[in-house]
Amino acid sequence: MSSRIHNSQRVSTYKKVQLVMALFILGLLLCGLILINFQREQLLYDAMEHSFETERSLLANLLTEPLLRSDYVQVRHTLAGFFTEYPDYHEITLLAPNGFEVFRFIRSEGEVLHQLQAQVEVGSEAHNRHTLILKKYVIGSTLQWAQNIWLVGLVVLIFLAVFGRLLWVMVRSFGLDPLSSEMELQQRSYQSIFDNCPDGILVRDCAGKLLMANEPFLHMLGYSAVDLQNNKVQFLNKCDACKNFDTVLAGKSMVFECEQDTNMGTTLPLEIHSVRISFGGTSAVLSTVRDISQRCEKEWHLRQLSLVVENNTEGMLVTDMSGKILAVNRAFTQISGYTEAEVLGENPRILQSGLHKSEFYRHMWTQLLKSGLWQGEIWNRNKGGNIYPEWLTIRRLEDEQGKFKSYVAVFSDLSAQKAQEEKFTYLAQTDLLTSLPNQMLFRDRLQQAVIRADGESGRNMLVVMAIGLDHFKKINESLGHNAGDQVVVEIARRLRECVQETGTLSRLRGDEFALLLPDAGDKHAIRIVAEQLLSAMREPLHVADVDLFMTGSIGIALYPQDTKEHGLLLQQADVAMHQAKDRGRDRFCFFSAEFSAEITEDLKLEALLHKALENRELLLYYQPQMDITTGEIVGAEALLRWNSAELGWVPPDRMIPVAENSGLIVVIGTWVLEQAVELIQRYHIRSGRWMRLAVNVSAVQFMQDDFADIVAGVVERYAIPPSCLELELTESLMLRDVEKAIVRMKVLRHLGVSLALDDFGTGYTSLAYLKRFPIDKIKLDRAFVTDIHKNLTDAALAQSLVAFTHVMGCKLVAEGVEEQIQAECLVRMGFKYAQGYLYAKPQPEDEFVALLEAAEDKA
Amino acid sequence: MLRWLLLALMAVHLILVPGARVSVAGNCVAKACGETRTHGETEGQGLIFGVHPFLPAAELNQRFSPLMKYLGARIGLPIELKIASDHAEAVELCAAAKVDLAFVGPTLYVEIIQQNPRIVPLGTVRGAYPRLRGVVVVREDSPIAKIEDLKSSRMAFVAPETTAGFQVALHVLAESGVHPQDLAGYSFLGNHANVGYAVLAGRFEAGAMKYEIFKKLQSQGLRVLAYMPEVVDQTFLATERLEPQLAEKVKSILLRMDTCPEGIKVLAQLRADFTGIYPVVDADFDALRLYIDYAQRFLRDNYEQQNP
Repeated sequence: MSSRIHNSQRVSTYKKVQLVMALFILGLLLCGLILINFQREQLLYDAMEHSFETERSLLANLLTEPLLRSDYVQVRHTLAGFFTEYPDYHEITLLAPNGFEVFRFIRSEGEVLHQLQAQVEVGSEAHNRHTLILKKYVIGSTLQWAQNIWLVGLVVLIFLAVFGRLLWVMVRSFGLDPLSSEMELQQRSYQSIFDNCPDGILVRDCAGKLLMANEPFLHMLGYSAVDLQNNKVQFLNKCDACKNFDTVLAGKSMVFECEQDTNMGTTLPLEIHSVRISFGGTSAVLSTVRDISQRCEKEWHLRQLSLVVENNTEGMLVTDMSGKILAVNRAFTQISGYTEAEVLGENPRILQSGLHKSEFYRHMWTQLLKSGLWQGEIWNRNKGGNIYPEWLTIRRLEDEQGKFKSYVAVFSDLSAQKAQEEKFTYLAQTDLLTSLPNQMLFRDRLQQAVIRADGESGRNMLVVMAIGLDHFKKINESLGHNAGDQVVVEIARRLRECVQETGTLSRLRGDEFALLLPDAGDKHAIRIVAEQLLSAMREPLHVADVDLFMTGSIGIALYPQDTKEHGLLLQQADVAMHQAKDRGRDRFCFFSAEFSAEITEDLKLEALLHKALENRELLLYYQPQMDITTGEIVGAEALLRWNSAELGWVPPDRMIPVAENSGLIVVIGTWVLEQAVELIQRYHIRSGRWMRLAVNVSAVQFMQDDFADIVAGVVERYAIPPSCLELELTESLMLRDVEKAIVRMKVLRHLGVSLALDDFGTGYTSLAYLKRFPIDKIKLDRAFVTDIHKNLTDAALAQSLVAFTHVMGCKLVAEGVEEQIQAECLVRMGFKYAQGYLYAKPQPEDEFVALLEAAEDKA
Repeated sequence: MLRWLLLALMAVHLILVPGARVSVAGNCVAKACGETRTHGETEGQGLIFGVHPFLPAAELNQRFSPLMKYLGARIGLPIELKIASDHAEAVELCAAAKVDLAFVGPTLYVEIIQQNPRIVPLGTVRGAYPRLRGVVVVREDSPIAKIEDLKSSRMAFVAPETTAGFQVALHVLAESGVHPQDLAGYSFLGNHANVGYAVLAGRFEAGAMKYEIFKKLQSQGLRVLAYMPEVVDQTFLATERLEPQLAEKVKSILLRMDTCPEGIKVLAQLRADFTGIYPVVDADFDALRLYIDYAQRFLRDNYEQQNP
């Protein structure tokens, strides 16, 4: 079985010519060889004849003498020796004169085709004349070969075949064969078509057996030519293909698809065209087999795409170049309300809502024609007349040659998205608790109002109010955050009622609101509005079964009077609000630049104070406390000083409030505590004596839950007797939460630390509290010492305090003693201890220590 | 003086006759000393075995070497083979006791013992035929039917000294009244085969040969004209050179050769048809002496070589 194409008739003729040519050439070659051989043989023959003549003469001579003597034994010996020595002698016979065969040596019986033969008379006399017959082989004779004609013939045939083939190949390779070119070309053309056809081609006999197949077919099914020859190619062996085969055999051509198992173990979808033909004189079936895997895959993909398009949630429609709708999908119908039948052939303008101007559509088409794509938001109208927003993408489709074919529009209904966006916008701009605009929206409206105000030539004054609830933190702490939220909601409602549509009320954060009044009028009107708001906030609230009486503080900033920058208005209003709070709350304040400056300065100070500790700008100065009766130094008060690299010496009354407001007082207070305790330790190491140091404690510091632990940790770390440390607490500190303060003081007393009530007389400490506070010392404020020698009230208070402390068993220290007369007065009253510039001013550590040592030495 | 003269002669003999160097040396010395080799003196020394040249030397050497080994092994002495170059030397060797032992033809024996009566025959060989037999042959198609028809015919003989090849044949002719001078011509061809071939070739009408040779050539076209009387075949003899006891021992060994496989094998190598060595006495040669005597007289009176 061969996959090659046969052109029988022409090939037959061509083969005959080939054969004749080959035989002719071979015949010429053979003749040439034979001629050469004959010439060679002739030369050989001549040489052999000469040799033969010489040999027979020699032999004759050798035999003459023995024959003369009738020494036949010698003659035999001589002949035997000669016969042995000359193997090319076929026969040597010696005949006696009477014909008796005296001796005969012969190599093989039978006729030798070609030999040299001679008959020699040996013997010198007639009665002794023997006849010597010699027969010698002619070696290498062609005729000798004739004895083995069959062998010769075989050799010749093989030679002819091999050499003839080589010669024919050479002739053809040099193109000398006159008939091969056209036939060969045609043969190659047919073969090329057969083997290079993209489809498989095969021929089967009536029984379905494969007769021939081309390479693409074999490769398609994973078979080789050897498999084809060995009949191992299985093709269309399934029963459902048999009917088609029979139909083809009946004379009807068939085109069908089927699946074929390949030799690689896969299954190929094939398209088969079969037709009956005459092949080699008998009916056969010619089939072209095409692998339609790719086509099936593409069809599958198209089906998938069709399903995707049909089931897409986005509406799709296809129009031709003129805009006629060619196809729509299900989503289009759902969104637009139009069925496919209603829109096919129509123009998409049936969807226009009328909201867009013609310029909009003109721009759309211009861009579409230019770039082939337009995308954007558009409002359309559905069949029910409802307008809805959609995100539309129109794309121009082109074929492989770039020729415009159609438009495809894909759109999605943005209604839900819009609603979602609005919801998100609402959520992003609204305070969820009060439903008021949040700070972001407020700022935006403020900005717009400023722009409008500017646009209206600034005739109207823009007012921004910052409204804060007073003591709101206590509500959260006492009643809980839910109650706090209810308060905020109720306040917001009240404020909204006051404002209504005149302005924008917004909740900024927590308990702070902001109000924008774009057209408030003059300051008088503004005050009226502020009073209304305050009044609304003052009304009692009933929350969590508790009646609450809230107040608010309002800060007012004016545009453009206070600032021309809208971003600062709210900030200024906030500053004014803080000012109102500072002034006592439940009031309103107009923005003050000075106060704002203070606030600004405070912020600046706070920022510098943050770095003061790490920059070692904070120092402790020590002011001795004296026993004014003996003149001894009984202790000292550690006073914080700040030598700012930028501001220089910052007064404590300036620094402390900033530290307390910023919360830095905790860190600074702890640092002060450690510095003081460390000095006690170092002094003890240096002198062996313990000093008593008093440290001021701020309210913020004292109210830390771990304050006692911090004090205990410092005392323990530096291993000083706790009694060497004295903590000075102010009245106001303890009055913030008396019970808590008493508990904490007891804990500190339990540690062994001394407690002193500082600046006594400046606060509102009652005697009842005074008797409960576990204090070791009371320090009379300087205010009562300054005029103690000339103010009876001060003197009386001082006097009573001496008695009180005596009864209570605690010490009494007079602060701010600056004049001798004050000191004398204090002594007369019974004061034992005092502190002031009269005795020593606050001084750095080294000076204080030197003072101590000097006093010790003096003692 | 005589001793030195003999030594000089021996040296010359050795130079002239190389083959005799070794064998003669001891013998000459012994002879010069007037002593015979005794058994005791021959211990360690070998014997010399002479053979007359009835075949080419190479073939004789090949045939007789096994016998030399056989005898030598049994007598405990090495035996050297000495092939005479011709008939005369053979006579000389034996008659002059230059050899210890010899193997001679019957005619040669007669001649030897005539010259040296001390020669002792040890035994004679027996082949396919018990004694030496000769025949007078003609071509098969020859018209000659009887000896008498040989007159005026040419006849081929082997050699004058041959028994069946001439001497006995002459007796056969003479008994039929045919004398050599009655023949048209006669020649001596040297060996029995030549006689046969010559007759077959038609060069001679008749020939005299040993029967064994006739049998080989009979198929080629020979016919027996007349049978010769049998005579003693080739004979082993001992010279006086050999010590009698040793000669007896050799004789005993020879006569018993056919009793052992090795001896039979050696005999067969001597001649394929040899079956054994049998006792022989000098009287067994008497008839031959008559034939020889007649032949010698003829030769002496009318010897000539013809070439028909």
